[in-house]
This record gives sequence, structure tokens and C-alpha cells, in this order.
Amino acid sequence: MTDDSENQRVTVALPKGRLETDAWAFLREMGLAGESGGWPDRSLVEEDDVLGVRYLLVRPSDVVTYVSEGAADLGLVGKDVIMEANLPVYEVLDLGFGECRLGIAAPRASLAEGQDPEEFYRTRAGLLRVATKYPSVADRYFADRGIPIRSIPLKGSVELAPLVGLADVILDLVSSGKTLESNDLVLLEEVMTITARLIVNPVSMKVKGRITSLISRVRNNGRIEGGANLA
Amino acid sequence: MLDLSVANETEKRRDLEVRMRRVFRSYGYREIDAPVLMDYDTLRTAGSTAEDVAYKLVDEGGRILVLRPDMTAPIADMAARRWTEVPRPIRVSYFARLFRRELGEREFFQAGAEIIGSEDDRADAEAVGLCAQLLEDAGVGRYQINLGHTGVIGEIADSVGLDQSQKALLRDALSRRDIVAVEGILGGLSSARSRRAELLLPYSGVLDREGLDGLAEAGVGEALIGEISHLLMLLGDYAPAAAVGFDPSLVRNLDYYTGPVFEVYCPDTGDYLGGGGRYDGLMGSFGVPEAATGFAVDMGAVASAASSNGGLADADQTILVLANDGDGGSGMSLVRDLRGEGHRVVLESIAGAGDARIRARANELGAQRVFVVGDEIREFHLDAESGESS
Repeated sequence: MTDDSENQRVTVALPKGRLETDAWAFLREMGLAGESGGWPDRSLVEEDDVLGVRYLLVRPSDVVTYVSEGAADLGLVGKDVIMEANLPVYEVLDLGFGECRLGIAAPRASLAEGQDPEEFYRTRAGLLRVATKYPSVADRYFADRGIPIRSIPLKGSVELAPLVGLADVILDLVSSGKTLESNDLVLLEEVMTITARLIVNPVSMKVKGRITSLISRVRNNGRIEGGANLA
Repeated sequence: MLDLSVANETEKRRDLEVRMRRVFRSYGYREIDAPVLMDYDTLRTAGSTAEDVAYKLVDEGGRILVLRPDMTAPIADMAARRWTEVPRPIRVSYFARLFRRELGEREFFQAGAEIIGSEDDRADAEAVGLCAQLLEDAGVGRYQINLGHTGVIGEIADSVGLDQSQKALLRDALSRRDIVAVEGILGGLSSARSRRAELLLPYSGVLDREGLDGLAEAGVGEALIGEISHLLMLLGDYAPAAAVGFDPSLVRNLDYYTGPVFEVYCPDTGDYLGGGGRYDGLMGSFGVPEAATGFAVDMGAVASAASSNGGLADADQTILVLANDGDGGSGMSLVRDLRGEGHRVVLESIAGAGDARIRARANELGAQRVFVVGDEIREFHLDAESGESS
């Protein structure tokens, strides 16, 4: 109904950092980036006039904002960032790459032998203090379990907080567990497994035919029978 | 100095409002307003999803008030408590400033309408048609209307064999737009069944009236398909200019709507322009169950859609008249005549101003026509760009 050419230019928001290389590979697979697709001069905006795609390179936590506000039609970003932002965007594909775990850890010294996480949380004096880069994820996770907390939002080096008495536990990404170990922290529980996702602006989804047909194609190509993951 | 762009934007919006008010009136809607400050309880009774984003404050008695985050709750409250004797259906419209804690904006300007006390699907068709006419008269060039129905999800979920808890998860995932989770739920089904439910995925596209067979294949019952088909037929009459497609994936606040719903988008600006639907359950929460349908459009988004289409004229030019006191009345009568003709006229004293000063003042006001009234009346035209007079 609205598939005319001026609609077909697509803007993609890409996350700087650990997902970047895989994100480009996915765009190439999707036909949204050329073979040379990449970022030679690290400019903030890049255009591919042949493919009709504009790329924005932004901080991972900003990808969701760009897409939800319509400054970008599509975005590639981790599930952790999507949950924290909690903004209206379509989360359409699990891209499978960038896998890591979101977990809760506490200092080894504060744990009693054989104590389960629930008991540990409930036996802290006062509110459980949770240091995290994901304060709203933490609030929702513990509220669902009926545990009152005070989240302590930090931008980095979250592992430090319990060591200096700023927090009882941390809620953070754990990839290998080495960082935890070297800081004498123990993983209490895994909250969830995180992978990169493709997100879409809600209006772009409705008015840009190019986007819906791209998604359908990728989804059907990579489909495992009965499942929804990409091959 | 007055920032003229602020004035231009305000006047454009008022102009838009005038045009839209004319449309509401021509459809027989009565314009209403509601207090900006409302009881928090009213909002909660309405089960408004805006509860979390409303600004709250406390009055001297310790009662919690909110700055109204939407108009539907105050209107439902009025309908249930104050308009009990008014014959149904009631057609009302409004222009309202709303307040929400949202990304980027705090204040929103909305126009909307409600039809209270009619179960008839002609009321739903009228709401869509009125919304389309508002956009036409506002000067929005292209807009796209997607029609949905809150019953579709449940019937498809039943037909593919989801149990109650899976159904609840599906609704929740759809309303959060988490399609990865939706696919996870459908992925537990046989591939034939999950394929039938694919209509619920937002990239499956829209169906026209002839294409509603697709709903039957997905397991939607005859009664509901008949209802949707009838509404699409009515829309041919009520909204002839709008191309309305049926979008099975359209999800709007599932707890609140109880039937047909719709959304309007502008493909040119990529904005959500507005939407609405039937909400028969809401009035019951105020103690008087009755049918209702309505919609609202975002005036900011409509204004930018109209602007991008050249549908909003710039404010008319100011005319500057400079006159001496006691000039025998010729300056004043010129001003009266120009004002009477509907021009925007600023009268200031000439007080010995030289040409350069006059030109500078005209530029400040954005005036291109200047009259200098002395022994005779001299008229100048200033080029807006260069400030040259001719």
C-alpha cells in the first residue's frame, strides 16, 4: 500500500563495541550492507547510496532510543540493553550472536555454607543493595520475587561495589566467570541468557514494506523447523 | 525580542485546531473540556495504563491528584456520573493538553472524540471516518489506517491449542512487542500450527476485505470474521478516501479495548498520528456499564505531517503602520480599514524614525508592507531577504 521508493531508504543503528563485527556480518547477510561494509574512518554516520541504507554508529544503550524515537528504523543490540531501556520497539529476531549471561553475584566471604540465593537475599540487614548497570532490570527482577531492594546504578567496574561495602550483590553480565573469580565473587544465580536482537521502530514496521519483507526473508531462510532461531 | 518561530508554531497549531474543530462540528460532535487536575482515584478506577507516567501531586487535604495523562478517563467519569440523564449515544470531541513522563516530552496536545452508548459498529466506522476526515482537513497528505480487533489473538491462540497460561504469555509478549518471545511460544507447537499463527507476527502485512479468508485459515471463527468484514464494508461508506487494511497483529492496550481498534501512521514523517477503538469495559468500572468507542490524534505529529505535505500555510504577514499623533485621523482610519479587511496590523509611532530605523523595525516584526503616514501616506514593500525597499 505504501511501497513506493521514497519509503525504501532504511536507517540502521549499530552498537559500538563487542557486537559490532557480528552486526556488520548480519547486515551483509540480510543484504543491508555491501561486502566492504564496515567502518573505515569511524564517522558517526555512513551512507550506502546503492543499497539505500544509512548507518548510525552509537553506544549500545543508545541504540534503543534511536529506534524507539524513529531516528533509526532498525537497530542491533543486546537483550540486556533492550530490557533496561524498556521502550516501545519491536524485538523481532534473536540473532544468536553476542551470547553472554546476566547473573547475580556476591562476595564469597558473605556467603554461609550451602546458603541458597533466596535465603541470602532475605537475611541481609535492611534492603538488599544491588549494584548494577541495569537498575530497572534489577528492580523488576526482585519485585517479581517480592524482595525489596535498593538498586545502586553504576556505569562500570560493578564488581568493585560489594568489595568496598557499597552493595550486597551485583547484577551484571558474566561471560567467563574469570572477572568474578579474580574479585572473590561467587555467582548466586543466572537471571537469563543474553543474545543480540534485531529491533524495529513500531511505525517503520507498519509503513515500510522493505523492512517487513527483509525480516520475513531472513526469518524464513534461517528457520529451524518448529523453532525460531536463525541457523 | 519575540522569537517569531514560537509564534509561527503556535499560530499554525491554532489554525489546525480551527480546521479540525470545523470537522468535529460538521459531524455533530459537541466540544467538551475537563479539569487538568484530576483525582488519582479516577485514573485508577479507569484502569488507565497512563497511571505510571502521570505526574502526581498532593493537595492540602493529603489527597493525591494527577495532571491528566489522557482524556478518556475524565470523559468516562463524566459520562457515568454527570451525563446519566443525557440520551445516548453521546458524541463529544475535545482538544486537550496532556501531561506524561515520557522520553523527550512532558506535554502533549491531543484532539479526540468519543461515542458513548452505542454498540453499533456504525459508531466504530464513524470514529475511523471522522479521524480520516480530520487528517484530510488538517492537510496531511498521506496517511495509513490499520484496523485490528482484540478478539483475533484469543481465537487464533485457541485454534492452535494454546492453554490459558500460554495464552496469557502470548498476549503479554504481543503487547510488549517482544516477537522473539511470541515465536518462542509458537515454537512449542507443531510447525503446521505455528505457521497458522504467523498472522499475529507484525511483519505479516495487512489484509483487505477479500483477503479475510486468511483469518479463517488461522482459525478465527466465522462470527468474528463476519464482524470484521462488515466493518470494512461500512468503512467504504464512512471513510471512502482512506485505504484501510486489516492488521491481525495490531495490538493496543489489550486490557482496555474490547473490539475493533485502529491506528493511523504517516509514511512520510514515520510518525504515529493517532488511534483508538472500542472500550466497552471501561464504563463499567465507573459503575454504569455501557458501550463506547473513540480515538485521539497527536496534534504535534499531525502538524508535522501536514507541514511536510505543505498543508500548513505560514502565518499571514504583519503590516506595520507608522503614524504621527494628531495627523488628523488619516493614520487611524487606514489602520481601521486594514484591520477591518482582516490584516494583521501593528501601529507604532513614527516619532522621528529614519528610514534605517523603519526598515529595522519592519524586519523585527517580519513585516513586508509598511505604511508611513505623514502629510501623505507612503507605502513601502520590503523584500524579506534583503530588507530592500521598493
